[in-house]
Amino acid sequence: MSTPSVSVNRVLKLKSSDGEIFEVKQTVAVQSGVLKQMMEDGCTEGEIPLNNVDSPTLAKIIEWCNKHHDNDVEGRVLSEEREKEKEKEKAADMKKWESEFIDALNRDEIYFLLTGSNYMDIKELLDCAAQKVADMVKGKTPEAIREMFNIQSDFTEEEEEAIRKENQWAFD
Amino acid sequence: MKRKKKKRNFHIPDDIIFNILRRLPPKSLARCKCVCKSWQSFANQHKYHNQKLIIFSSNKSIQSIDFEADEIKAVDLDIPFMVSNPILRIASSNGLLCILTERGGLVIWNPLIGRYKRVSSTSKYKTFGFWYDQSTANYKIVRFMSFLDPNSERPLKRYSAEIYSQKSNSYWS
Repeated sequence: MSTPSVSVNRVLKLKSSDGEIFEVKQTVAVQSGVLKQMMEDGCTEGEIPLNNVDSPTLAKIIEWCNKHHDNDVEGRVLSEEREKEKEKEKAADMKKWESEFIDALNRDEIYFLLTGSNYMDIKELLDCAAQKVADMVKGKTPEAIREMFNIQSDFTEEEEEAIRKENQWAFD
Repeated sequence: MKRKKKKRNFHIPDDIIFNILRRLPPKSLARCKCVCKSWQSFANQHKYHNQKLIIFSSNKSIQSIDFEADEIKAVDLDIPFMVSNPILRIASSNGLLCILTERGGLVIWNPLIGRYKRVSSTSKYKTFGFWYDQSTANYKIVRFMSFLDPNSERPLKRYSAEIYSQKSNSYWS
């Protein structure tokens, strides 16, 4: 009700950076903070260019949003207890789906997903991808982390030695 | 092919890096500080999460409970300056811990980034308080000592109080 301009049957046309068009239901697209704002402002006519998101990434993002779109419209005839149980089951299923979704991606795909979900402001997906990268960073040496993120060290030799010394406990 | 070309100058924005780093346990975060200068400053900005509860369970360990984790359980924290001697008292403010050990004196410690500072080497305090002074943006400790009778070594009814200021790194009574 808070977003009266969103209607069940209307679709948005999203255009990826490489020019592919994706159709997404408005009710699904509200998960993106950016698209939600655009809908509220009534400026979603025609193609919406997403210049920072390429088509493989956008496809993944839409897959995620479709899955997380709450289309549970079955009648509420279940007892409260059964209802709770069902909610729990659903949450567990979703967790499982999320981890399979993210584990199937390679490193580059995850980076694209990170920047794409950040750009489109989809918090849950961003958090999920950030957690995955954090898990990948865990236990790695600084050298391996630099390699992973394509970062050049900007410490001088002395600085590097000093900071290693200060954090020696983390390497034991 | 197209993607490969893109990857060469692939850059992850700072706010995403920050989002990643805040999910790391202390040891991994300390390693991240050694990656480059900007990561070092990200990691140093960290405060301990509000969602985490610190518990001081026995005199040798400090544990944390993370209420955001899937499974809620107490986890031992790695204490970098430790300590074969017992912890007597612990106080906290804004995610910093102030710890009094039996022989190691007073130490202020940020458990998330692993940084610590020894602020006193003696441990002869009755008790102490630790707080953040908003007006001067400064952490302060007040510590109380009781005087012992030099002959009997029994406590006299005389106390002294000293305030430590983190900014000036000094005490005054």
